[in-house]
Amino acid sequence: MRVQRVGPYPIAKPPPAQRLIGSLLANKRLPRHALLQALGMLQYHCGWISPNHLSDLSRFAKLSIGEIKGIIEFYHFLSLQPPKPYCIYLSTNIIDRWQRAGLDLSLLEENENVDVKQTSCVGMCDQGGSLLINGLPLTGLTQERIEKINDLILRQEPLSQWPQDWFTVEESIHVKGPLLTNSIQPGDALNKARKLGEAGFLKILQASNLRGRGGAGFPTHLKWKACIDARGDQKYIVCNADEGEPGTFKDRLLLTSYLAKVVEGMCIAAWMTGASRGFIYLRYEYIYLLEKIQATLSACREQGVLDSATFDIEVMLGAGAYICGEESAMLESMEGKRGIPRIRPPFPVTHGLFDKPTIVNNVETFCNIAYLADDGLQAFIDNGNAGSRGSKIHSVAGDCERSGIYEYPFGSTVKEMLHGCGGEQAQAVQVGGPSGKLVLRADFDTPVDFDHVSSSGSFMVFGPGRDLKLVAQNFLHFFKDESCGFCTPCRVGTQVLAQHFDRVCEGLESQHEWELMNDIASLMGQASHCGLGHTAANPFIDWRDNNVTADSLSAKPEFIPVFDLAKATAYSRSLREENHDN
Amino acid sequence: MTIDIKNPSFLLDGEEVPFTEGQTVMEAALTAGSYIPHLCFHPELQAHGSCRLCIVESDNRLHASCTLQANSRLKVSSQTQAINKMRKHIVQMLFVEGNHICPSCEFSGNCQLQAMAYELDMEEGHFHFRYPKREQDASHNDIFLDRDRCINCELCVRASRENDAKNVFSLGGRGTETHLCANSASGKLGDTSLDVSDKAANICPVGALLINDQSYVTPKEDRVYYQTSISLRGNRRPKEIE
Ligand SMILES: Cc1cc2nc3c(=O)[nH]c(=O)nc-3n(C[C@H](O)[C@H](O)[C@H](O)COP(=O)(O)O)c2cc1C
Ligand code: SF4
Ligand code: SF4
Repeated sequence: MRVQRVGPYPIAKPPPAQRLIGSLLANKRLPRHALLQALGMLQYHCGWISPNHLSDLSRFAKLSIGEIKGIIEFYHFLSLQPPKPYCIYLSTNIIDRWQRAGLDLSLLEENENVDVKQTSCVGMCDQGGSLLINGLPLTGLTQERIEKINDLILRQEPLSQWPQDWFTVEESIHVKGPLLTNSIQPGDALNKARKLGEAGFLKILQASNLRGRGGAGFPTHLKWKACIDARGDQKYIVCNADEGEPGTFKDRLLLTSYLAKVVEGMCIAAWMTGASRGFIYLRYEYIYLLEKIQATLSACREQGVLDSATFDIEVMLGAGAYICGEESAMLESMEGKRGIPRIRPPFPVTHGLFDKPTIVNNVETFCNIAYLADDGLQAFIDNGNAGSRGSKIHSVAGDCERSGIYEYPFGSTVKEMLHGCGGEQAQAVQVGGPSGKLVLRADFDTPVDFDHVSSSGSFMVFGPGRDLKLVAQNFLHFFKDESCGFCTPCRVGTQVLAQHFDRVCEGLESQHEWELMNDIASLMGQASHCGLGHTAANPFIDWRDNNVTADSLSAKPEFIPVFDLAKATAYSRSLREENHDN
Repeated sequence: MTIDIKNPSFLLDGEEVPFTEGQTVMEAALTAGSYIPHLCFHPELQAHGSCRLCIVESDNRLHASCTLQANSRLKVSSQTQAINKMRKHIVQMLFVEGNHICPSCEFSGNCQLQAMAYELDMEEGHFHFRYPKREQDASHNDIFLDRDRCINCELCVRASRENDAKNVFSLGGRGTETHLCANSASGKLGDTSLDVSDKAANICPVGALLINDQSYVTPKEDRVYYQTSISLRGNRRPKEIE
């Protein structure tokens, strides 16, 4: 797929579906697993899934329109509403809100030619004020630029004519460790691994104690061994490039500048397991990288690292859903369905993509594999500590002088990292995103590793003036917006918790509501179906544990009930008024 | 406890429950006549694990018993105060999430959600009512779909696929906007092939999928869960509407 800039959207004369998704069709049939890919392309090129395109898809995929609509409604970026010529998405992440704080966007909100919508973190926390326009990131916003954008939108200037430099996403690496320094000759890592033999490399992998970098920290050698042992005529290697945890953008860097290494890591996995096909599940927010990624994959084919006879890699696009970073939800999404986490066990290593044995690893984990194969065990374990070998790449953003990418050995303390980025003044840091942990100033000596505070790569710095209550509120709303809706505790719990925390922020919560929030937090943490629900109350718990004493609760202003009669009856009253009018 | 390989069993609240290879804790318990509260489980359909009412504790962790494989090392607790308190909160969540009109609902007394509330001593919604706006669908001649009362358990979805071989329903949307879809071009139930005799039309645990001419056939006071608790009777729809 070419990622030409599209805009204004071709609303009056949308191109026929066949032209946009022809490459996915086989004998005029759309395989089920290609449905989400088709929807993503139609959305990107047309700004919505029009009724005409819906009925085309329904014919091609042999699915009812009702069912397809249900899938569309699951994903943030797929829309059934006729678009305006342009569509802007603003990230709701607290860091992005702060970055846009001085900017007046009302111009755009009032502009008839553009929809201004919100979405969860788009992975641009180090880029200054930013937005997505018709699917592409526009960084470094200033008031002047917003005014220019507004003019271009008013004039309906084709997006392709907009200044190129507005769309650049600069990667700024501040500290390079072994992973970002090492350079591999194409094919080298795979060849070195091959020389050791399967059993030999697996031993190295075990000795390295490499643990997954996507958040859960599962030992990679155990996962791989299980997939090697699993029976299956076909196996798959999947690279998780969903990077949905707010504040994280380190996979963006790896995909931009280190993809060859990721590919090599995937090749090693394929060789070990006998898999012949691999996939990169790329979040929709990173569609701007698609062309570059495909160019790199082509180069790898030319160099013989990839080839269709042994192992080749395709990119699959997400469509906006944090839950699709959870590996089993991701597999569902890759099969063209709503991203609902599967019942586990069985795990993907035995029953993964299309029910076949599948290895799912994070982008950075595959990079580590290549590095381990290339530089050897000793170099790898020279970094980190016994429980957490190697180094970790962090996305640092927020109230610090130098946001960007930092690679530190595991076990580096929060303080060291703050020193590195010029964030010494911080009152607190959120390590590992909203599902991670809030570390207060008093605890800045805490090492960042799997045994202390674990991180998927997000490191958000909060300066002295920031209200941490608003941070917690922002994170709770994130989970409310991203719960997949499958299980009761999380589907309802995230809603209710966010709502009651709003009252905390207004200073209105009662003792009763406080108990209620505690109940919800403990229920979600224990009884939910997947990791999202298990961690979704963390921002509340951290805030509670850091701030609340019996005293701070007793002095509440006058009780104001949650129930608002006027609001609750507004709809019925409006019906009565409608009837009067008729 | 000694492990008998021929007749394996696990412990549920201190009692031995026999199981056969491949059974889940829920299946084995129900077969043995021990009730574990549930709403989205049905013995003839694939387990779902979404309502979370069937949570049980083992090894200091909670599991959904409908997806937990039985094995003879298991020691499971179900009827503890702490777990039943969580269950009650889950039922409360289901109540506040939808628009449940028990006093005037055709399904009152036959409804498993309501019965579960009685079972767990639920007296109030506890959480803030959300009053969602949801679409009703009266396009089918024999069957009425009231999404206000739907709890997204997917029993109808699974029954249609697994039992009726039809795929009439699916869930759509995300998060709190999750909703039942009719798989037709118009999205209306009347345009699907759903038949009043299908399992999918006769499986809803609540009053969300109602058979038109069967409402109010039994006076309220004679309805099943006004007579017997759900833990004794199990999750079964009354005879006359099956
Ligand atoms: C709600 C949720 C979101 C997740 N998002 C991501 C993600 O964006 N990227 C990622 O690599 N792993 C994510 N994970 C973890 C994956 O489920 C999985 O553990 C990981 O991809 C495995 O790779 P690893 O072992 O290399 O870390 C997420 C997990 C949960 C529960
Ligand atoms: S915990 Fe939340 S995200 Fe996970 S399955 Fe349940 S509703 Fe979905
Ligand atoms: S209509 Fe009934 S059976 Fe179907 S999902 Fe809703 S509550 Fe479950």
